[in-house]
Amino acid sequence: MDIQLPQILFQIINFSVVAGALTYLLYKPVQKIMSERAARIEEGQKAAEKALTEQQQAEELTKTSKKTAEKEAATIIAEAKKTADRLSQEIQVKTQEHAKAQLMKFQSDWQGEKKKLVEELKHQFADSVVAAAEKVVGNSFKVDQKAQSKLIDEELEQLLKKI
Amino acid sequence: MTNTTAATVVVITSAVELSSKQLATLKKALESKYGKQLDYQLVVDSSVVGGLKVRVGSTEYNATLQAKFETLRQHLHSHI
Repeated sequence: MDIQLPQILFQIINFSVVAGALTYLLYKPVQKIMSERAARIEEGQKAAEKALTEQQQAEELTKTSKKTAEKEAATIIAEAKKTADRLSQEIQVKTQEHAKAQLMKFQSDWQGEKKKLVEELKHQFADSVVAAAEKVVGNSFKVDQKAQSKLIDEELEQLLKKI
Repeated sequence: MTNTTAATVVVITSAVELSSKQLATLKKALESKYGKQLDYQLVVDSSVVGGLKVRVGSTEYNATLQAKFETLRQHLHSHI
């Protein structure tokens, strides 16, 4: 087998032309398409990552907001309960004080009324005793004129000392 | 002794009529103090119960049982 140099050169040139044509006409457009596609994919990935990040941030924000809201709600409920307890205690104390004052007033009034009633009864008793004595003595003197005259004598004697 | 030109009214109240002796004794004592110009009014009032009271002008000498009972009643009111 003979090595034909011109044939080899022709083949080399031919190959170079084909390679150059392929490089210019096919490789570069394909490379460009691939670069653009890679760029789009990268852009899509970035957008997806950004969206994911935003979603995570939104979820985190939602969680934080929920926790904050729950914490605030718990604080509000605790404050409301505390206020309700305080008001309840105040009302209870005031009610007890009012009841105590009413009771003391009632006792005082009752003591006053009782004292007044006892005084009235005493006076009525005294009046009754004196009235009864007056009646008995009066009737006695009506019957016994001598005793009446003697009483006048005695009283007259005392009266004369004053005149 | 009090000298008066007009007669002084003397009201003597008793549960029963005074005897002449009792009246004379009383008049003597009154005239000794107030003079003889006295105008006597004798009143029999059973409400005085016993004893007698004498009012000379605005002065009253009360020796009735009614007054004593009233004193007793007031005493009981203030001490029981």
